[in-house]
Amino acid sequence: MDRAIFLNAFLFSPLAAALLILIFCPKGNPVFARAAALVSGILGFALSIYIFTHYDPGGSQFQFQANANWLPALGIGYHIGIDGISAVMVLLTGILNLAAVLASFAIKDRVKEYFIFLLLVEAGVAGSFITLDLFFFIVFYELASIPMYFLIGMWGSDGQQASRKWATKKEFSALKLILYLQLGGAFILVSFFVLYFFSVKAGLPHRTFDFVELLQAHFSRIPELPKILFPILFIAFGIEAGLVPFHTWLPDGHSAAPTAVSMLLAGVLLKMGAYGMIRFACELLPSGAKLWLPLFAVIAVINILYGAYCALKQYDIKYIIAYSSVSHMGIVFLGLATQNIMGWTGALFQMFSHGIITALLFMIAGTIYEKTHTRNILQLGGLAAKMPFLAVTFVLGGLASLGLPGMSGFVAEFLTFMGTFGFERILMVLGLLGLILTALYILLAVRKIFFGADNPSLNPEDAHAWWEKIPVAALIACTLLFGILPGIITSISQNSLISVIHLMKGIG
Amino acid sequence: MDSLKFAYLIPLLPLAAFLLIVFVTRFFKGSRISSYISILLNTAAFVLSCFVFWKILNLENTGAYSGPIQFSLSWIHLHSVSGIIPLHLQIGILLDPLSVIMALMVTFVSTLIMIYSIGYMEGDPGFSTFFAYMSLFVMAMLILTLSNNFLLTFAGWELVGLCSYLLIGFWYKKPSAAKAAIKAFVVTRTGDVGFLIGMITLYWKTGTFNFVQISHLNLPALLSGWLLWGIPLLIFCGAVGKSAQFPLHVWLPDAMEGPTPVSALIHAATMVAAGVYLVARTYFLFVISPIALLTVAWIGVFTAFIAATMALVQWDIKRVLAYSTVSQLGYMMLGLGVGPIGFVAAIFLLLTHAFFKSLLFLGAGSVSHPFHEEENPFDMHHYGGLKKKMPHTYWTFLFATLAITGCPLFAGFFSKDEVIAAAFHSQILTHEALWGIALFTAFLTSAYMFRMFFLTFHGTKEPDPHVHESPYVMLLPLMILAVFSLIGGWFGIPGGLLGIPDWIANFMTPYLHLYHVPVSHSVDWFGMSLGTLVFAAGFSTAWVLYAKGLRFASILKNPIIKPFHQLFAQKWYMDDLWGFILGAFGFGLSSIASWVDTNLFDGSVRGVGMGTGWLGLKIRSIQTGFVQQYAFIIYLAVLILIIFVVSGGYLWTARFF
Repeated sequence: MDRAIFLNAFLFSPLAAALLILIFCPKGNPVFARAAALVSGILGFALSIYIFTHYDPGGSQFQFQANANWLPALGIGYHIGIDGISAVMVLLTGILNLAAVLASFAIKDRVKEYFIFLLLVEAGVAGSFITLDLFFFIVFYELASIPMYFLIGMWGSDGQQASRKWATKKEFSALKLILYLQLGGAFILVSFFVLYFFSVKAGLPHRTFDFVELLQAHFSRIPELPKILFPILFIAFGIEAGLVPFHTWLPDGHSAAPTAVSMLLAGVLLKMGAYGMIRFACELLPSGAKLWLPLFAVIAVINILYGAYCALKQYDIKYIIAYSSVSHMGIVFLGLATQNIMGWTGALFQMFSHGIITALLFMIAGTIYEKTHTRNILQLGGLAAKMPFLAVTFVLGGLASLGLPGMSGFVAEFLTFMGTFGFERILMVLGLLGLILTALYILLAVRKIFFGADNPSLNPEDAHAWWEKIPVAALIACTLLFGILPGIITSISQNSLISVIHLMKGIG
Repeated sequence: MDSLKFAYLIPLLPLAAFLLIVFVTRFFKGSRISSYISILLNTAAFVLSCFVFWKILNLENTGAYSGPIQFSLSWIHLHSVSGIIPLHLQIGILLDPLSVIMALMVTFVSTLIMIYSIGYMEGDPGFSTFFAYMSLFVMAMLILTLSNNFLLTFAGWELVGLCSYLLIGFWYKKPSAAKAAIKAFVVTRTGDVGFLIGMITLYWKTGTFNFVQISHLNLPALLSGWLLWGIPLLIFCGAVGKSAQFPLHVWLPDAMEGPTPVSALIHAATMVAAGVYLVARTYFLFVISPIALLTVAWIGVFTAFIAATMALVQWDIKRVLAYSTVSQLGYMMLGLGVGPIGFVAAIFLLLTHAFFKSLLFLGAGSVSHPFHEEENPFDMHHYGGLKKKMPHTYWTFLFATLAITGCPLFAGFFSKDEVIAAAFHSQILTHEALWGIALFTAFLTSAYMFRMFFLTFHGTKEPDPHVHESPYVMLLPLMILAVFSLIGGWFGIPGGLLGIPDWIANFMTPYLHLYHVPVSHSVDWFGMSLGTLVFAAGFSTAWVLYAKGLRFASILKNPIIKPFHQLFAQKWYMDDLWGFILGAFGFGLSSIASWVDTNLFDGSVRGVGMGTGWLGLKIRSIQTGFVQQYAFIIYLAVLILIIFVVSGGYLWTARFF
């Protein structure tokens, strides 16, 4: 397939840019690094749109495929390709990678190293969504997580959370994040090895890490294997996706990270976890999914409510957004747990929508911090008069987050709860209570940051450079576009989601 | 009927105004252009509504009306997978007598309010923004009005909530305004959750969100057991929130923090009308369940009553009006709740109430205009004797007061008293009690309205010399609305009195044909005289107590009156109750969650981390650096291995490999 070149380019453009910066960028001159990153960002964005719009939902299961032997003896190959699910994630990655590059222009310190790490993360994320080889997934997973440690530890900022007992220094948060992600990665690795070693027993001619081949395997023939492996794999991915109670790295990590990294963390890294749940846990072990997902539905609702309750208690803007991520990822888990098309479409839509919205919110939070030097809402107030652009965009982002019709969050939540009714009504009712809490913590935060009397101690100027305004406006436009015309996404993803659901229901 | 397809434009025109203001005219500082755009496009929407209305009327008159006219577009389509019903979501409009007359009222009243706002908002730094929000508000309301399915209605519903949030908190620098805005949004959203549950449940039972399709189904067969009354009541939850019914009425009085034209819009044409409209729109769900109807009726009448009692003791003119809105909305719910017999009366009250309530609010704005430098310009303590200084405001205000209190010939006489009469003639359980409370509340209405009226315009107080009449741009809408407060009622004169046909009942009949209600054609002389009597009683009470200044202030010290006064002034302690609930289930649980997060989850992780560090510290001490010690340990280990191997342990371990 010739079209594979687009997917390859999508993966390699950030890597190439990182390499160019490493070799050619003179020390102390940020222009080259910025330019290279920007070019790769724009290229990736354009490619993601091309790939998304040229994906044929009625065509073969995996499109834009490239397959090259790498270690045939071990059944490892460089195999990439996308289906309707990853097409949506590719689009999300393309949008957010560019936004993250633009948000990074404010970085003044050690720009060269910063962009190298950032581009590596971007490449890792892009690779995770398009790889069809389990081994390479691990490689990309590590590529996306390890540079995070340096990005947060070196360019991050300390948490300003009054309610936390322990000081959340950025170095500490970075360490916590990397340990958690490595723990999840280790479990994923072990699980993948198990799949690899059992692939022959499951009916394949040879051991393989190739996802498409593993799809043909029947792991349910091996008694107990899906039953035992599914929860391990699900939780391993859940660590990355913010599954309660393995979420505590998330608020610290997201809050300590520099703006662009927070955007990528919440926007796409959490989605890697959720994507892994769909792609590897549910698709390869459908019988395990059928057995275990109802249990995870309960945890999902806990995620929704618990995250919202925690968010209500936070003082640091970034902590509020981070806990809202915990809450909103619960909607993804709940959607998955329903095992029907409405819930799954809702879950995928939420992955996309939350990625956009939370990146938007982190971007604005970053600007507020940059201009006022505080993120503590108790010290803020009355900013609407001084920073009207930020106020309007934050309110819009908040509204999208609390699921206002006309914005993407509503579609996602509505579809998920529609699906949840077909699965378990009580959980739907409990989950819907989260909507009230979400409205409460978001509007309270808006009020404390932007409304009320002028705060004379704050003297921000609302002067925005174009690279700050454009991505914010573009992200808002995205939530409106997909909120008003959700069919763009649902029509692409429908067939692929149906085939996974059929696997779980034991059809086809 | 494709010629009516342009009805799509009705909500899109205000949206266009919103977009134009936001992206273009907002930047023309100090210019009135934004308001002109709003008014122009809103008027265009009004003209279109008139046209659609006229078309439907024509169809009815020629006997060609054969049911609602719909236009739909597909929005999301998900196939049926493994036995689960398919999801087919549409957006579309529905034209029938109910929706077109509502659209007509919304566009008409909102246009007048916008014209008034030119004068009221003059010089406000947020002038353009204000008109942008107002246009958006009207758009949301029109979406809700014209929608043909639950989903789009819900979308309009939430957008209405958003606009109320934006407009109530319009003067965001005032902390009280910012708080009231959140209260309005969160309280109504609490009701919306019920609405959402009800509508999702309904979809799973019927497979569609379309109103017309659902109304043609055999619902009693489809909805078994508790669903029969559960679904309408869940949907009613939404209406309780938006239409400020007990126990979710608490947000409306606080919503006074917004600019006065906003209050007029919220109280008359948009937000609160939405709830009543929703119940009317989904009436096919309510009529099949006596439990649902009875609940609606009782919530309505109870709300009407307690709101009237609270209105009696307010000193803020806008709060009096706010509680009177809550009370009147209660009447509308009562009308819907007593069964199809009260349906037309309730809708008629909704329409006429829009005229006189917007007039009252705009009048209050006009009254308060000269007092804008006071801390609270709406405090009636500042007023008194304003009749001479503001003759136009006085007369228009009088018309509205006469209309709402049910003075014969005025609009309320033919709408509100019809609701009360419907309660009397209804067949539902406890209708005598409903009627009695409603009648007593009518007395209270008359009393509190005239109390407010006398305190403001009459009395012995000599007004400040700087008090002046408002500009004509504000007075013109008042006068138009005053005319409608009088003649509005004449469209619904019951039973061909004076040879005038009951136009509204005839017009709504096709909507009600599903329920086979005979339109009553008799004149209810008993009800009418009783209505006049309670009006007069309330008027006299207020006259005696307030018309000549506060003559009987000591009455409040009476040991029998005092506790009641306390109860009413404390709003029946509903704010405290909700404050407690929010404290316990909101912030209380949030503190617990946060504690658990910090100490339990994060704490255990910290524990593991510190434990590892401690272990490392301890184990480190084994590494002493003495070679003899190491050699000794190696010697021991080898010895153990040898023993192990010799003793046959080899065989045991082999099983593992």
